[in-house]
Amino acid sequence: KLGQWLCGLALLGSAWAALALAPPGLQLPAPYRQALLPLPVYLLVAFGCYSLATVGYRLATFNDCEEAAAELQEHISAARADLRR
Amino acid sequence: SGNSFEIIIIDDGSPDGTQEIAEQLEKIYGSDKILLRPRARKLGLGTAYIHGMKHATGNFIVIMDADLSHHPKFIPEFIRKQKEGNFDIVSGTRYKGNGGVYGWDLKRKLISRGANFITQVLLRPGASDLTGSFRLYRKEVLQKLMEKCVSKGYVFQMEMIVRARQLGYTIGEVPISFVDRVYGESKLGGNEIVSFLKGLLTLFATT
Repeated sequence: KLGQWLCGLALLGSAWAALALAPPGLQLPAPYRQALLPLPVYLLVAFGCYSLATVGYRLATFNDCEEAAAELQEHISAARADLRR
Repeated sequence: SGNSFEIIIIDDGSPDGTQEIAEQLEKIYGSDKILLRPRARKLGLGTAYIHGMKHATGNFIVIMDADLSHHPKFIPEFIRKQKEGNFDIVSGTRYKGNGGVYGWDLKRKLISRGANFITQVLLRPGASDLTGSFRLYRKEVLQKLMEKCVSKGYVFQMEMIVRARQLGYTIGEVPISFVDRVYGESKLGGNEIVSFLKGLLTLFATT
């Protein structure tokens, strides 16, 4: 997995570097370059927000099985009674 | 339920009287149904699996906690799921469907969800609950995985799933409810979190 991540990052990194830091002759039009330069930071922040949102959502929807706990207590008493015989 | 089964109980000299109770159960249900295979002292979960497997005569093995946080009522569902997709492994998940927990405070839930999220991002395992230990395995699959796994504790459970994916085994999921220890106390301290992260990074780097 580390290998996959490094390859992916290297690929993206070199593509970004090539486009953003190209020598004057090969540059893209100015607006594109202005957007491209901070792109990595934007992506990082976006990922951070996504992570927080996802974990928050999952935390909020983490089921609480009250019925399961109650049912378990019933089963325990029934099993106890059954085994006493 | 019509399924033939045997129960293998492995007790590493628990101080709470588990052994005596297990012996009484054996008397009630017969020693073909309940197999006691105690060990002299606490030797760890991984070796308990191996030890248990040596005495198992069936084709499938269900691993579960014996403190009632895993309810046996899910076992027929595991079996049904396995038949449905001919899965090599059926994993109980607390995070999907109507799976869930009871008895966890917000902090514990946050740690659980956070850790699971990091694991999903880094390992992309194809299963929603990696640290759960309520699972059904085909016997040969469990044996193969035991040979390959090297970690301990929570990470061990994760490693089983990750290696299973590597070896191309199919994994099905069944939502389960985890009712936190009715008996005894659970601890999730800083140490466990640190060793979890270390283990996760090791898995990340080596699988």
